[in-house]
Amino acid sequence: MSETNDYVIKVSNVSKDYGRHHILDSMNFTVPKGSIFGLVGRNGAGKTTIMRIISGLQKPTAGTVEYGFDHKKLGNVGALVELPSIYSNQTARDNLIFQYMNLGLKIDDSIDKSLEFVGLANTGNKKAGKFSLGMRQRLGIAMAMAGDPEVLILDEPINGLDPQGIILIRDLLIRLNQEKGVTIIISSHILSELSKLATDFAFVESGKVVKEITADDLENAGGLESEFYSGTPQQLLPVLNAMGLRTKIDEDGIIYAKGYYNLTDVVLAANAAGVNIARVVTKETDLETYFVKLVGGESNG
Amino acid sequence: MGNLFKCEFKRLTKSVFFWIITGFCVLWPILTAVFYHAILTLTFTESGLGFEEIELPKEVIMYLTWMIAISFITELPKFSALFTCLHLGREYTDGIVRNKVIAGHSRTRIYLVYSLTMLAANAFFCVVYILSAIFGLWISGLGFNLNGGEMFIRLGVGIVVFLSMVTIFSTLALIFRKRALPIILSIIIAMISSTTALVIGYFNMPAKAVNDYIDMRSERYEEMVDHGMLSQKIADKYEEDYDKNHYLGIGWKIFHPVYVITPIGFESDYQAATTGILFGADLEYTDEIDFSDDFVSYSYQDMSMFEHKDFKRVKSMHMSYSELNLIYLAKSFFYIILIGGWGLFIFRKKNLF
Repeated sequence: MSETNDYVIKVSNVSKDYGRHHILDSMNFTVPKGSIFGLVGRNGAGKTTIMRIISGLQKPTAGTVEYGFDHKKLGNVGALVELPSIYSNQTARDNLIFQYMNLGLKIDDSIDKSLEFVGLANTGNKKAGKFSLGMRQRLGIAMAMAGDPEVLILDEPINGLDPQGIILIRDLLIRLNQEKGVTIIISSHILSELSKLATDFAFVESGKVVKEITADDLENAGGLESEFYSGTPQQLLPVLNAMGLRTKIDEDGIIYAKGYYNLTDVVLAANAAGVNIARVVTKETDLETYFVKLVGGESNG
Repeated sequence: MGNLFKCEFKRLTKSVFFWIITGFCVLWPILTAVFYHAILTLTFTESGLGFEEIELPKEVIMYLTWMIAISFITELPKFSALFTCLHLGREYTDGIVRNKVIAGHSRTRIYLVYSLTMLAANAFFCVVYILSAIFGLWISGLGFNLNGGEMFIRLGVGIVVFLSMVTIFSTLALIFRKRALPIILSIIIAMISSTTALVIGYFNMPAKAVNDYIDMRSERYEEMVDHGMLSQKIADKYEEDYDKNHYLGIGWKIFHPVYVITPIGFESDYQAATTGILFGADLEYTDEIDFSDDFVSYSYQDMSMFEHKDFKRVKSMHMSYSELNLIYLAKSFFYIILIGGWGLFIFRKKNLF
C-alpha cells in the first residue's frame, strides 16, 4: 500500500452471509484518512458486522477491504467492538501492561500517560470488574490506543453511559483525532452525539451503504433552514446574502435561507440597512432527520 | 509469538488459581509421604518391630517413590481441567482473545500460544509435584530411590501422557465461547479417564501374552491330568472358565482397543512392574514391565499355580521400560498433535469472537 493514500480503509462490495441470512449486501464505503467516520444505521443494519470485518474478527463472504496503511503491523488497528475487552480481575494498569506485552511494546511511563489521558490514573488497585461502564469504556479505548494505532474502530462506545460519561468519551475521541491524528470509525445509536463528533458519515440500511456524506455536505444538504418575513424582502435579501446565507425568494416575498447565523447579528444588520424583519421561522435538519428522510420510517440509528 | 508467550506467562503468575494448584502440588505429595511413613511405623510398631530398626528394601523404597511421585497423574486431572478451562475461558468472557486478533496476531499463533502455555503450566504442576514427592519422602525419613535416575525418564513420560489429556481440556476451552460447557466436559473426561485407567488394568496385557498364558496353562493342565493331580473333567471346566473368551470377551473387546490406541493404560502398565516388587516378584524386573502379575494372581484361582519364575522366559510378558516409554511417548504426542490440530482447525474457521 502506498503511504500517500488519502483513505485508511476502502470497503468494496463486501457481503457477509450467515447461512441464509444476508447481513451485508455488497457494501461499499471509503474512510478518509484523519476523519471521524460515523456509521449510522438501524439495529441489525450491519454496522457491527462490518466493524468486525474491518477489525479482522470476521472474514467477509465476498468483497474486499483495502487498508491504506500497514494494517498487519501489530497494534496499527485498535478496536472496541461491542464490549470493552479487558481482564475484569486485573487493575487498569495491569490490563494496559498485558496489552503492551501483547503488542511487544516497552513497558514504560507511557502506560501511566495513557491512563491519565483517559482519566483512569487514580484507579490504583481497583479491579476493572468493579469499574463503572464509562470507566470500562475508557479503559477499553486506552487499550485500543496502545501502540498508537492509525485507526480506531469503536462500536457504540457511548452506549449505556450517563451524560457525564458521554461528554468524557466525546472529548477523548476529539482529542485523539485532533492531537494524535487517529482516524476513528465510530457507530452510535445516539445520533445527536455522533453529529457532534463525526466529520464523515455512511448511512447503512439492510447491509448496504445507502449514502456517504461529509459533515459539511450534511450541513449544506440540511442544516438550518429559515423563512424570513419582511415588508421589504427585496431590501432584506442582500443583507442576508452578505451574511453568507444561501437565499431564494418566492412570489409572495418570503425569503428562504439556508445556513447558520446569529439572529441578533442579522437583526442588527437589517436595522443598519433600514430594513425591518417581521418574523423568522427556523427549521433545522439534523443528522437524525436526515437519516429518517433517507431510509424512511422511524429513526433507530 | 514471543510477545504473546511473555504476556501469557505473566498472566499465569498473576493467577490465584495457578498458585493454589501449585500449593496443592507442593503439599499433597509431602503429606502422602508423611502419611505412608506413619502407616508403616504403626504397622511395624504393632507387629512388635520398631520401624527405626527396619531397613526397607531398596525396591520397596523405589516402589514408594514411584507410587507417590506418579500419583499426579490421578490427582491432577480434575484440577487441571478446572484450571485450564477457567484460565482460557476468561480470554473469551473478558473478550481478550478479540484484542489479540485485532492487534494483528494470527489465529494460529494465538491458539498455539494458549495451548503451549497451558501445557507448560500443567507440566510445571507435575514437576513441582514430583520434586515435592521426593522431598516428602526424604523429610519423612522413608528415603527415596529413583532407580539410578531412570525413574525420571518414566516420570517424564508420565508428564507427557498427562499433557495429552491437558490438550483435550485446552482444546475444549478454546473452541467453546462459554466457560461452563468446557469445564463440565473436561471434568467428565477427567473422571472417565480415571475410571477407565482403573478398569483397563484387567485388559492391559498384550494379546500375545494372553495367548501365551492360555497355551502355558493348557500344557500345565495336561501335565497335571497326566500325573493324576487333576481329573480331566475339572481341567476341562477350568479350561472352559478361563478359555480365550474369558480374556477375549466383551470387556476385552471394549477396553483392550482403548488400551492399545490411547495412552490411558499408562498407570496400569507401569504400576504392574512396581506392584510386583511389593509382592515379592522377581527383583530382576526393575528395568522392565512384567505383564505376568495378573496371570500369577489368576493362576492361584484356576489351580495352575503359576509363579513369577514360570513366566520369566516368556518374552511376550515382558517389555523394557525404554520400549514402553517410546510407545507411550508416541501415543501421547500423537494425541497432542491430533487433538490440538483439530482444535486449531476449528479455532481458525469458527466465528468464536
